Amino acid sequence: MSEAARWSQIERLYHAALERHPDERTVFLDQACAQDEALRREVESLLAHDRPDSDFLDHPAIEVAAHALTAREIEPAALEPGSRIGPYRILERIGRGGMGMVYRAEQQVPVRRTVALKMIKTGMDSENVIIRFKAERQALALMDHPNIARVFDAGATPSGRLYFVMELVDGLPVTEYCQTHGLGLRERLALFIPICQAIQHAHQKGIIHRDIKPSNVLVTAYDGNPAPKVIDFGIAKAMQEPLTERSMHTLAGAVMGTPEYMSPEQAASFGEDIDTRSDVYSLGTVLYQLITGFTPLQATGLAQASDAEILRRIREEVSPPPSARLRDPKLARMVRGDLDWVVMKALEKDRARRYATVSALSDDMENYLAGAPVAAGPPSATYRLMKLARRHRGPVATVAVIAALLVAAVEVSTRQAILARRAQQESAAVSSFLQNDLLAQASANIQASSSERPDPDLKVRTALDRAASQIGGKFAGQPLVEASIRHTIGATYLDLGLFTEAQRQLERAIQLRRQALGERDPATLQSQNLLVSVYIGQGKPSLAEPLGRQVLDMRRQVLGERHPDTLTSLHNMAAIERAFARDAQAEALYAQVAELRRQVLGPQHPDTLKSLTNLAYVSMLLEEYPQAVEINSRVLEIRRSVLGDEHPETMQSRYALALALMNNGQADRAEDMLRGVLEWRRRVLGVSHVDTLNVLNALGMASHYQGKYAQAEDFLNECLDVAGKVLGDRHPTTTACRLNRAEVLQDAGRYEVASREFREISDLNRLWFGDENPDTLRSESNLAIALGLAGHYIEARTLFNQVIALRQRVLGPKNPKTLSSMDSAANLDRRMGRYPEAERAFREVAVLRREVLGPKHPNTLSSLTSLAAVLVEQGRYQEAEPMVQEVLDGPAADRWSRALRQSLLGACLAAQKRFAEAEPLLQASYGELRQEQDRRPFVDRLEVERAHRRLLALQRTQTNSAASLSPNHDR
Amino acid sequence: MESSPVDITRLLSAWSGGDKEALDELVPVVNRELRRLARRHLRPERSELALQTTELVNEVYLRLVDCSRVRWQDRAHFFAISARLMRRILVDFARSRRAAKRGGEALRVTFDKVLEAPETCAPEWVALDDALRALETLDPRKGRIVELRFFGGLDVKETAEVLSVSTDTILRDWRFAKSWLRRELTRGQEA
Repeated sequence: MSEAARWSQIERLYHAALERHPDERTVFLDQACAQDEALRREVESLLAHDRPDSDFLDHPAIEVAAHALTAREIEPAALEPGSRIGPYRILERIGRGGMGMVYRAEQQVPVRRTVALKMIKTGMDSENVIIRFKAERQALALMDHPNIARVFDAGATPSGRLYFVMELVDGLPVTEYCQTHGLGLRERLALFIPICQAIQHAHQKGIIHRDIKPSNVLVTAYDGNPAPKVIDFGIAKAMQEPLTERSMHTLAGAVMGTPEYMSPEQAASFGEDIDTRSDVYSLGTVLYQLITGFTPLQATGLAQASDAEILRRIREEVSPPPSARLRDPKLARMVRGDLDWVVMKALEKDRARRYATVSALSDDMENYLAGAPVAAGPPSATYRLMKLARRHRGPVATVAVIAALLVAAVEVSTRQAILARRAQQESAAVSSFLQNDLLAQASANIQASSSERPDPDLKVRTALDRAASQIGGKFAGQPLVEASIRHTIGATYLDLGLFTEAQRQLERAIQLRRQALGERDPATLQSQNLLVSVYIGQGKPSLAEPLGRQVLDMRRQVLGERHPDTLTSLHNMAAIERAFARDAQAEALYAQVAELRRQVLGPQHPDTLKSLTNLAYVSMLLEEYPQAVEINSRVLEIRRSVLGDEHPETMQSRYALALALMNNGQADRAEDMLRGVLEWRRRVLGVSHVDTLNVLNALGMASHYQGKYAQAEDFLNECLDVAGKVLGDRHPTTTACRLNRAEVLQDAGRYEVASREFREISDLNRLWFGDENPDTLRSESNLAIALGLAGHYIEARTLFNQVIALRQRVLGPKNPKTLSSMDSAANLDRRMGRYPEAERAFREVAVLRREVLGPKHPNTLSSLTSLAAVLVEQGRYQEAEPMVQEVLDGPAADRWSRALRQSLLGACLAAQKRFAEAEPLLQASYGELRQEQDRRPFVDRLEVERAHRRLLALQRTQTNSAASLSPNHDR
Repeated sequence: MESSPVDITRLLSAWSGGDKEALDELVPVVNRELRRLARRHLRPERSELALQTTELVNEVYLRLVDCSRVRWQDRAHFFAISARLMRRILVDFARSRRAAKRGGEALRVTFDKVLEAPETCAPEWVALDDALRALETLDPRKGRIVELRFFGGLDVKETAEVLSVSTDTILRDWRFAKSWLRRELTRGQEA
């Protein structure tokens, strides 16, 4: 029997046996194999290896590889001694840190020494970390302190694993050292002081450690004396990823430090900047541990707690003072009092209450050791009360401050009251209300007497709500007082963005004021003006407009054309025009207001600048980029000189200017500017703040415009990562970013990936907005284009057809967007080489565009050009030529379009053998197109190629005809 | 740093022309691509989504090769080449890894994990390749099925289409092939 036959037999028997019940198989094989033992053995062994439940080979190879590569807890094999990482030779492994393994290594160049090399766990974005580290390196190099371990270098292996190279410190973590060497309390405290000095030195160089904990403070013996050294400076910052609750996986024990040592602001959800006081807190925890042996945050339950829970505990849980954790009464007595206060002051949740600097902390420590009084006294009575009132961290002021605001606001509005006496009465009544009712309520909570539980949720909103609900009964006979109060409460709601509540209050205030004071009273008008703002905020310009006009007219009459309040109303009218998307009108009005405000209030007045900024914004919408650039520059200059470089409004102007520059073709300048804004916003607002994310998005666009695709992708990925988690998928920033990224991918030529992204966006839009929504249609269009570029022509054309049909139905058959889809679809046909279809489609679009936009409109001409091009491609030069000529004779177009058309014309002339005219045309136009391609990132390369081909074809024809005409031609 | 498709195509043709060093250059690139893709496809919040492995393979492949410059006879040809390429890259690298004795670049460290992945039943790559070669000699179709399915990531239906046989045939062959390979691999271990 041949091999092949045998094989078939084995196979047959194998399957046949499997079809039978396991019990029956033996019998079956007995029969089937007869005497052939070898055969039977073979089949049986195969059957023995039949494991239908195993997943052997079921996971495709690449999935195995991929999973392995991204497994979070990758513990790579240890490096073997003798192996090399860059210029470092590994000697031996000395430990396993939270971030990865630590090795002793030998450095050869540029200097020969033994160092510590720390391999960081995979999963980090090496490139960015290194960039951040290198940014710090300059500052790190300046640090020179006996108690600081130097960080020499950072790098990545070819496979992208990150490593840091540091001064080799052979020592124990400070807590361990104290324990094994049996140090007493005073000795431990004495050890603490040089640690503080080290950190202080770093702070003076502008470096915050961010990850101080016992394992980062190693103690060696130097000349018999313990010498602490702080390690890992600069690493934590370089490795910093946005601190969100979900990234806690990397927190516990690994990248960002252990929760037990993390300061409350590091644990605060988002948007808090970290400053040197964060290190003070961490030092406090180390000190606490040195004294008591425990970390302040009870470690119990920390491992099991959810991430959100851990962060909350860090932020809110107040630890018992060290003395309370000591069992030895003698020791406890020593610690109680001054030392308690010092530690607790370092551990204050509110960093404003902590030691402002590390040297303040070490000074107090020295005070204590010297027996001198310490600066940290017992918490004052007021502080204790405040602490009870403020359980909730946030940018909103306490109730007391609100009350003050309200009083001030009331005074402002009453200032405009005509009768001073009435004003006095009003303000007295209002003040009394505020004091007795609002404040009293609040202070009752603040005072937290032992019998009453403090109200933990007393926030602005609640305070306002309560005040609002109480007004009704109280001021029955004093409508003006009521109106004043409602007005100011409404104004506060408006500031908070709570439009419905604001509306309610203001409507009532208006009603009362109208009744008591009349239509034309400035107070009435002011309330009405606020209501206009409310309507604008609610996105109801149709309500805002009539009221706004009314107020404006009235103010013009009563106060005059140039009164600041009148100008405010005028500014609001411009805002209404913008809300209606009537941008041309908005522009005119903003320009008017800006000029008037400049004259009346002065060129540097914030309101003048506000109008100018809005003017610039509308200019951008109208694509008048040079103007936007000019205005934003002016505003920026003023803000810089008045407010300084680091003021939020200055930053806003920089951001606005950058956007304008970007659209004005100066994307490189925009990028520089945006980087500055990003750095500032990251620092001040935090990495997760929406304004910071917008800058990242803008940087992605600026990079895109310059053709820096990889950079664009990096920015956009970073933005999308955070925005998706923090703002949610539906937030405009997230969707804009996602769209930008898809476009970058497309322009970078990664058509498959881009298609996928566009599809995802399209699916989301369909899900959120439905099939016929304009945004959905636009994303479907994008998807179709992407699919076309990726080569999925059939799918793309089908999709285009759908989009066109929908747009025809929803927007109308002559809507510019519908026509634009048809144009894109025709382009696709052309690319597919389906010229008859393309011709028909382009013709249709051209006709419609001529009708809708006019015969001279750039888009009409563009469609005609495309039509002519398709005719040329079909060799119908005679039909094409007059068309191209007509277009060229039309209004002047940009260089690119003109060059394209000239190239087409050249082709037509060449076909008629009018070489003398054709050649220069083809030559020149091709040259132009090449130049444009270099200058602008978004041109269609295919067109450049076609132009080139036409030129080459001509040159070939010429050489041929030259050869055939004069074979003896002198070369 | 992105390698332009041209470089990779050149490397690929050099490699298939017998230039072993081209593979050394190719591997880090493949590695990087895999990691980037994997990162994107396996982000934690997307772990619920099924990994579309065929797409992943396609994508790696499309990334690596300037497809417009290669002539594909048909879809089957394309998938066959992809799968074979994937196999060669993974296995050849594992082979060369075994050849290099101690230490070596930290480069190798990451890939080691691939060889050990404990979560799934990942075979020892080199042994699997040897076994597969043996299978191919005995039964080419089964060998191709394993190559397409395991290295190429095709599902049963796709494999059937590519090979122009019924899905039943694929399933039967697949089951047999797995038993056979499993036996081969365990036999190798006992030896």
